[in-house]
Amino acid sequence: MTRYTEQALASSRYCGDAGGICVCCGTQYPGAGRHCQRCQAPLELSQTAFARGMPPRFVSVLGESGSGKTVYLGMLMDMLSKGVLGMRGIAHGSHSVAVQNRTISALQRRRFPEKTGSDADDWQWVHCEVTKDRRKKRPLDLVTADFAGEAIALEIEQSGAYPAIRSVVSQSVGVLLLCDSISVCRAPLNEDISALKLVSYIYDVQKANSASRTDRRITTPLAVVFTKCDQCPEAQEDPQRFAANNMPRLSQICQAGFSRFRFFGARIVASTATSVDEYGCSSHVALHVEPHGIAEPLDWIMKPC
Amino acid sequence: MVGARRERRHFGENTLTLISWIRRAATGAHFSLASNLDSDLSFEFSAPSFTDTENARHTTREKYCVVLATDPPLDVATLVAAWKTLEERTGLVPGGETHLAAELETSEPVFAQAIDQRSLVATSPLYLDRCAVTNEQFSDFVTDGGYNQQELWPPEILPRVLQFLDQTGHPSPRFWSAGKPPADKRRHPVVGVSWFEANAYARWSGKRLPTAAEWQRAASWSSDGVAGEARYPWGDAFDSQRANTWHSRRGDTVSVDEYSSGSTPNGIRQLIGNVWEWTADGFDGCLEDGSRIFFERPMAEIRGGAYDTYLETQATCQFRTGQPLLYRGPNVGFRCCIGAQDLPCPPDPMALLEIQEP
Repeated sequence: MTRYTEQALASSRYCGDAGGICVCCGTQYPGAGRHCQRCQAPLELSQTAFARGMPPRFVSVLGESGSGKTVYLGMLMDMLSKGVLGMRGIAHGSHSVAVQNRTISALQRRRFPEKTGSDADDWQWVHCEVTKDRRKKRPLDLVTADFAGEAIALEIEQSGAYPAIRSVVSQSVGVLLLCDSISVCRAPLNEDISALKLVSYIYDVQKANSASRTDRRITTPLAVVFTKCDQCPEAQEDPQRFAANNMPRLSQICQAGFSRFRFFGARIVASTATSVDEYGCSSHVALHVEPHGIAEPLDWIMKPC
Repeated sequence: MVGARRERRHFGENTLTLISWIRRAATGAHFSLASNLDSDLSFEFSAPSFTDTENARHTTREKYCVVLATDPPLDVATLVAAWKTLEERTGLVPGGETHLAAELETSEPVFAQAIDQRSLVATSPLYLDRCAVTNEQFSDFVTDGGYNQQELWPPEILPRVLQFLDQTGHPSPRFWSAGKPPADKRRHPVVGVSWFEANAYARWSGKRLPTAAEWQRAASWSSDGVAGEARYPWGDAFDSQRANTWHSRRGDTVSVDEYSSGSTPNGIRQLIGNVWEWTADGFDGCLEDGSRIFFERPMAEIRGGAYDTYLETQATCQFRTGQPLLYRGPNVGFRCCIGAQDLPCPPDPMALLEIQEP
C-alpha cells in the first residue's frame, strides 16, 4: 500500500463526503470542488476508491503524443468489461466509462477518438476492478488516467509541471509504455531517443519511491507496447527483435534498469485510410476493428500480483 | 471412355439419389436446401482432358464447373455428375436488387433515410459456394500446379506470384508448411491468400469471385429487417452462437461445417464470421460527407467479418470494408460463384435412363 492511499483510507473515515485526501497525490480536498487542486484528479475517483475499502493499484499508460494511448486504454477497458484472457473488469464511477465510451463510439463511426487535451482537468481517469478467472485471489483495483502526450513530454522536461503524472508513475505497480510502430519504422532514431527519455523518467521516479537503495534495477514491470501494428506487422510478429533492431537505446536501458520488462505488439484496427474533406483537412479512417495484443501486456503485468 | 464406365458404376450405387435429382432437374427446380452437406462429397467424374493419374482424378473434384462449361459438351453421365456436385456444393441465389451502402458508411443505417442514400444494384441469379473454400480444396489447386499456370494470373502480377510462398518457401498459402495445410485444419477456410490467389483459384475451378452486390444479395435476399434487408442471414439481432466472431471467443478459424444455425435458408454457410471473404470488387470509397479517401495500396472489398471482428456492426450483411490486394492475412478467405446464365442447360433427364444399368 502506498503512503498516499494509506493516508487517504485513514482520512476517509473522518472526512465523509465533505472532503478527503486525493487518492492520486495525497492532497487534502476542500469540501467543494470536483477536482484535486494540486493534480486535478477527479474527486469522484477518490470517493470510489475509498468506498471500495481497499487500496487501488496504479498502472501508468505513457507514450508520446499520437502513440495511441486513448484508443488503447479505451479498447482495453472495453475488452475488460466483456472479459478477455480470463480477466474481467468492472468500472467504478461514470468517469471510468468515459474513455471507453469515447473510443468505441468513435471506432463505430470509423473514426479515432479526438486528441486528449493538455489540461489536466480534461483527462479521463479509470478506476476498474479486475478479477482473474483462474485465481481465487481478491480482485485488483486498477487506477489509471489518459494523460495527454504533450503533458507527459512537458513533465519529463520540467518535473512537477503535471503532478498527477509524477504521482501516478511513482505509485504504479506496472507501466505500459506505448510506441507508435509506424513512427519507429519511419524515424527510428527520434523514437528511440524519445522512448529513452520516457523510460529514464520512469526509472528516476520509481527509484525515488523505491525502498531499496542498493539494487540498481527496479522491480516494477515495464511493458513496451508497439501500437498500430496493422501498418507494421514486423512489430507484432517479433516485438523483441523489432525493438533490438530499431530501438537499441531503449532495449539497453530496459535491460539495465528494469528487472522485468517485455516488448509487445498491438493493433486495434485492421486497416486504415486517410480522408480529406472539402477544406483539405485530413484525418484517419478506421476501416474495421480487429484488436490484437491489447490485453496481453496487462495480463503479463498482473501475473505476479 | 473409361471414365464414363466408372461413373456408371458409381451411379448404379446411387440410383435413388440420382433419380430424385433428375426429377428435380426436369422440373427446373435446381434450388435445394443444404440437407446433404455432411454427406460424402467425393463425387468423381471424368472429362476428356483428364488423365487417370491419382492427382488428376483428385483435382477433378473441384473442377465441376470446368466440366460443365466444356465445349463441345461431355457425355451425359459426366454432365449429370457435375450438375449434382454443383447442386450439392453451391446454393442458388435468386436475382434481384440489393441496396449497397456507401463503401465507407460511417454511421449506422437509420431506417428509411439511410436506405434512400444507398444505391440500388441489380444482380443476376448465381450459384454461390455453400462454404468458403477450404484448405483441403485449395490443396487440390496447389497440387495441380496452380501457382505455375500462367494463364490463371494477370501478367502484371506474375513477378509477385513468386513471392506467394508458405512458411517453408513453397508456393502455397502463407500459413502452410511444405505446400501442405495444417493437418488439423483441412476443413477450415483457406487463409493467408491474397486477392490474386483467390482469383486464380476461382478461375482454375471454372468459377469467379462474387461481386460485393452478389455477396450481399446471397446473404440477405431471404430476410427482411427493420431497415429493409436484415443485418444478418437470420434476422436483425446479432447472435454469437450463429457466427464465429470475437464474441464467440474461439480466437481462430473453425471448420466450415460449424455454425450451421447461421446459414441462409438455402444452406449457404458462414457468410457472417469465421473469415472475411474477398469479393471481385475494388475498394476505393468516399465518405458520406463527400470526403475523399486515400489508401496507401490498392484495395479489394471484403465482406462478412471474421473470428476476430470486434464490433457486431462490422460483421453484417451490409458492412463494407477492404484490404490491400496483396494482403495474406490469417482472417481473410473467399468463396466462389458462377452465374446461372454462364451454365449450360441441364442434361436431358431421359438420356440418363440409359446410364442406369441393371
